[in-house]
Amino acid sequence: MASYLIRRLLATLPTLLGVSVLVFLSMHLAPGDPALVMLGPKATATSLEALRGELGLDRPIHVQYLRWIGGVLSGDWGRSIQLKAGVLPLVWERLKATLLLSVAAMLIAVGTGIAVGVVSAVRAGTLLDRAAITTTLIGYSLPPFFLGIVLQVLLGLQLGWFPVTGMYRAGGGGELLDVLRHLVLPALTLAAGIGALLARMTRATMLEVLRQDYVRTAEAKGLTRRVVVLQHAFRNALIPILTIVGLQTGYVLGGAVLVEQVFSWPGIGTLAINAILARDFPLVQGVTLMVAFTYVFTNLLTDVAYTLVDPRISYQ
Amino acid sequence: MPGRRGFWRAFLGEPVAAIAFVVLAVIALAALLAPWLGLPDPVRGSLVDRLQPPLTPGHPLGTDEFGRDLLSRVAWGGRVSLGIGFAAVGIAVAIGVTLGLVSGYVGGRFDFWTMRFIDMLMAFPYILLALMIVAILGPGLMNTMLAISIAGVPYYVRIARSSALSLRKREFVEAAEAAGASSARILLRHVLTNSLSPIVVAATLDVGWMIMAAAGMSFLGLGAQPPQAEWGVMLSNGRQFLRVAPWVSLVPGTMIFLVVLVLNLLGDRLRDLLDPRMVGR
Repeated sequence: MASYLIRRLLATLPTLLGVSVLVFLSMHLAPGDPALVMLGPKATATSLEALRGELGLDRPIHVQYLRWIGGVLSGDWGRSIQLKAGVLPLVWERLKATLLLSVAAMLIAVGTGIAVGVVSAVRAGTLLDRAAITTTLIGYSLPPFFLGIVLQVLLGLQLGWFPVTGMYRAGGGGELLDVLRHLVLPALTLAAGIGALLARMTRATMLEVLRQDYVRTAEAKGLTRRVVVLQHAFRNALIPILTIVGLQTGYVLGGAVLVEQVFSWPGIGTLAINAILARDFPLVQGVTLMVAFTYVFTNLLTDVAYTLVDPRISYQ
Repeated sequence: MPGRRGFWRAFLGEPVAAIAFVVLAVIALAALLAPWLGLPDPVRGSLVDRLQPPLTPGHPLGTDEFGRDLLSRVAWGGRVSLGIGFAAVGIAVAIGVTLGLVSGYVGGRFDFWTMRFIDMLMAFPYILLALMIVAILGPGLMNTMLAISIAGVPYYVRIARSSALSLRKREFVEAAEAAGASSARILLRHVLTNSLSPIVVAATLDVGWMIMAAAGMSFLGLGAQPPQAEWGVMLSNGRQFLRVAPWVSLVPGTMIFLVVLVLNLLGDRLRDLLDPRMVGR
């Protein structure tokens, strides 16, 4: 297992290298002089020169990349032009809020999505199944930024059950209960689309598995429906479901950007948008790199999870 | 397939798909014909009429904070939102399918490097990739459209490539090669035409997704800019008035939802007809 993990980790290296090259090049692909793009037309010649020196823009591009990636590996991710602070601490601080939101959303989505999918498949063709199909269709057609606003209006402003913006109450110290209360609406918003998709996929997979011979055999043996569904069918449906869960981490990280903006959640998304609007490239690069790395590693974790669920998948 | 008419009959024979088609047609027509429908000016309003609720005489969907008629803004905004969604899918399909078919058919080094590049792009979540491209090109409506279409390219490269790979060794392609047909002709006449089903299904399901992505970008302030009537911008602007006039946000939001919903329904129906094995992304 350990050697499998190491091999799998090594296999992600080319991807990480490619990601880093693309992220690095993003600044140079922008039309015009990068320093001028970042500082704007009103920049003085001295400040432009200073920034060029700081970023090493006067050197050959491969030298610039090596210098940049060396910095990234040693923890120096450059300085944000707009916020005048180190990029890594800024991104790291915000990443925690984004991860909290993403994990909460994923837990809700996986829990409800799989449950709805299994029940829907077992009761295929019934009214319950049809209700589930309609709800999931609505769920993944709802733009997260719109659903967020609807939830804000209904559960926040009208009923007053949950706070509508931020991560803590004003002047609050961030007690656990307070953060959880603030987390409910954004996490539900982010979870809706993924949960709906998971429910659909789980239903389709379960329907296929339930048609298999071994399920019929299990039923013929006189096993209870519950044992057949959960131990025989569901276990075999888990692999494709896991694949979808793994793929959805990308959607969660991307969707978080939109949801954070709706709820003023202090995560990496709001940081990214401000950085893009201010054309603060070191910060844009930092955020992109961090999210892409997180995505690559969650995919790695999904692969590892397969081997745990299905012993037939060897470590080769 | 039993002819074009037979296809449409089968496609719209299911009531839900037929209703979805009618809804989409009405919205698309309203957007297309917005200038000739005699609607009030979508950009200039009168402050006397500000924040009127829906069903106010003269303003069936109400007005926004500048007294602009929401029905008019929704119709005009549909031109932008629908236009961008369809155009973005068109660009993504054109680039992605060309690259994917050539890559799968030609194989070798070209295929290897194309796919490594596509793998690299796919290491970024979709929205993040689009955001990075907007960061490169700069915010704005056209740049947003380019960004979401470029971010969508890898998806089509993969579909078209796998199609081309499986067709490359089929007898009718080998026969065309033996008959001396040029590669371009084989790709267009034999490979492309036989790969169309999965591409059409994917593209239909993708239009809704791209409309949502474009509206999302405008919502974030990166795409269309106020005072332009665009659904994402309208939704975002209305957020300041959620307490007093929630309809300013809810009307454009409902439009995005409705369009995405009917496009998903139509895409699902198309998939059932053309490609029953395919599972949505």
